[in-house]
Amino acid sequence: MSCRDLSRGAGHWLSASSTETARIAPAAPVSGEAGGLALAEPAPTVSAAHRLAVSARFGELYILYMRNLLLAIATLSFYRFWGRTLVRRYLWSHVSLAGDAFEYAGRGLELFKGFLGAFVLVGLPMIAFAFLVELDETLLLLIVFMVFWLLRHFAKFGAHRYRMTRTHWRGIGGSVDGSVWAYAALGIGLDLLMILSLGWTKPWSDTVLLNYRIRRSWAGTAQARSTLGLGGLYGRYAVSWVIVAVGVGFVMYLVADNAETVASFDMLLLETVLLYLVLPVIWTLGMGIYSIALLRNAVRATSLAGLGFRLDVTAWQLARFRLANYFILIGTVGLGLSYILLRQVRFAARHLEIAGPVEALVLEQRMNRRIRGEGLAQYLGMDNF
Amino acid sequence: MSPFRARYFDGQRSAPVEAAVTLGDAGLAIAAPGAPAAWPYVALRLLEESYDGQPLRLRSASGGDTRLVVEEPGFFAALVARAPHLRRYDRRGRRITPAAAGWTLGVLAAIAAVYFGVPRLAEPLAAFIPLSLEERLGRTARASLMTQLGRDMRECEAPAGVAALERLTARLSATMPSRYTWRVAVVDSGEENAVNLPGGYIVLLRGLIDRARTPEEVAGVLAHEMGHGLSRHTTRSLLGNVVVQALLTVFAGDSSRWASTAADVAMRSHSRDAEREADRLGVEMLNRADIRAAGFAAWFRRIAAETDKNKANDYISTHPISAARAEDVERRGTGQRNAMTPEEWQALRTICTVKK
Repeated sequence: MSCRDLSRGAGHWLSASSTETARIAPAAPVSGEAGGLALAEPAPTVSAAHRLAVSARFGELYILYMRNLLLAIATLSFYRFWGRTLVRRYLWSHVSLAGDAFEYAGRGLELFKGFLGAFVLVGLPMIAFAFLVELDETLLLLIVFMVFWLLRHFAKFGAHRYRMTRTHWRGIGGSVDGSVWAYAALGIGLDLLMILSLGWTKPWSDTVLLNYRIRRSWAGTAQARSTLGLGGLYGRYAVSWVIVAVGVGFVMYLVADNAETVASFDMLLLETVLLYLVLPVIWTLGMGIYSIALLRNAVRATSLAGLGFRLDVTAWQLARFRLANYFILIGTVGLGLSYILLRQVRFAARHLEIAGPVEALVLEQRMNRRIRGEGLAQYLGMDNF
Repeated sequence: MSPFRARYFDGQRSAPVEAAVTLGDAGLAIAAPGAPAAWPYVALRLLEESYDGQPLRLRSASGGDTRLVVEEPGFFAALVARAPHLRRYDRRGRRITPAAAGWTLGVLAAIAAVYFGVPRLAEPLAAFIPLSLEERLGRTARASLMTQLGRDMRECEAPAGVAALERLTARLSATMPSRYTWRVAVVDSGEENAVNLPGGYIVLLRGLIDRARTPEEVAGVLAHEMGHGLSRHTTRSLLGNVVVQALLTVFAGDSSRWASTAADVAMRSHSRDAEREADRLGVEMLNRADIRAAGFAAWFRRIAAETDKNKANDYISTHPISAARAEDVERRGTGQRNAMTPEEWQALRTICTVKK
């Protein structure tokens, strides 16, 4: 179990960049810092940096979240799509750029339909497959896991497109070109290469997929650009790879070794500590070395409507932030999620610098933008927001 | 009424247009270059549930991407008198803590109701399953267990051994009437384990009998597994898995990963309770059948000792072992007699080697 999903923030409202990168997780170079910024426009100076303003209050969000949770329990979880929509509306409308808040225009019914569609197209066939084909249980689990692992690309792109198209600022909406099928085909192909290379093509895969998403994202008629390359990512990835491989290997060795020597009750405790406390720390710290670099590079490489971006976060800051989130969630058995959401939004707003003529920014509406639902992400439960 | 100052966004460009808004008879009159004359009240929508300190942001159901932002304080009160369908969540002047505490209590109560209610629900639900279905479930489970144990796994059928095992089973089952017809089978696997399946099916693996020093050890393990069956632990956990999966989606709602972690821990504690209950029932059956429980306790101790000697044992992966359990069994055991005659014990030990 990792905490890699924990650090999404306000970046959604802005562009494809900052936010989405955080999820992909690992990979980054020490030297990539300077090389990342290669915008077509003249590089904006840091002194002109703007930041997103967050006016959300914990008490309000907490009440909203608890209310949603109670209704979800009472409705056998069906309310959650509407609840999630309310939370998004709250968050979006409490983050502002140049004095105007963002607007979330999504509807609960859309999320629900997306979930139903994904259930019929993916869930039912999987269930039917499990019943009709008599397979060894382990093999079946492996197949199911693989299918869902590969499907995450559909979900990822769908969720990104849905959020972009449902996000407005001063009446102007975002949009995303490209095809979810093309993206998923690309992602699955890259996954296969990654498996064959024992993970060593991951930095390349990550940048290819990120560039696909960023470069097809629009705010009105302004199309996002990305110059994200591999610069410096591989060195850091190598460090992360070794740390994680050694760390995970060691934990697994401890679990396997002790399974034979420790009595079961103690074993359960030891296993719980190793798997839920030690492993996440190793993973977060190890992969953080790479993921922060990927994140920073992607943010720096992105430009939109004459604006440039920079993320002033160190690997250690991000790792600490993610670990704190993880332990808050574990400690509150998930009930503290509303606090985590707020932390993420504030973290993103605090560390994301926006350079360029923000005050003078004028976006124009893009006509005929395609509006589609967010299906698989809802079904796979990939989404905390 | 004097007009309210507003900013109008035309939906084409993000540049704001200064506007003056007045509350007309049928709608909101917007005076701004390029703005429609009026937005009917019924078509007005808030962009979001507006909170304390936020400007009021409006759109019209028929107005496409156009937006109107009004920051003047008295505007909402004046507007809502004409458009009562607009709702605002403004906690200004109200304390948040009591509301937050109330909702927290509500959620905790609901979680507690589910957590304690579901195991209770699973019991009548399990009882509701017809015996024939439970038995079919057991047969399917046994077949899949056999394939898991290995290719060509066979049931041991030496007649004398089978008869001895049947006599022991009958002696134990007579102590606690149930709707099940107990079907105990020995499978020719070297592993030291025993499994309870739905519908009264129990499988003993040959390794268990091979390594047992006395027939009372086998009787103890058998009684323990029958205890699981009587409590419908396996049936319930099969049902429970379905229910828990469904519940997970509930809690999952917004935080599935964390919920499943919690559920994992909860399930483990449930399964420990089940072990204790099976121990208790097992010892009770031994007592009523007047079989010495010391063998069962000795078996626990032997397993624990073997585990200390770094020897892999399959039983402990499903059954927690602790000295406390052995002591508990010993303390409560009252039986005085052997579980089998020496001849029966010999027959059981060769149940897999003697051919039919």
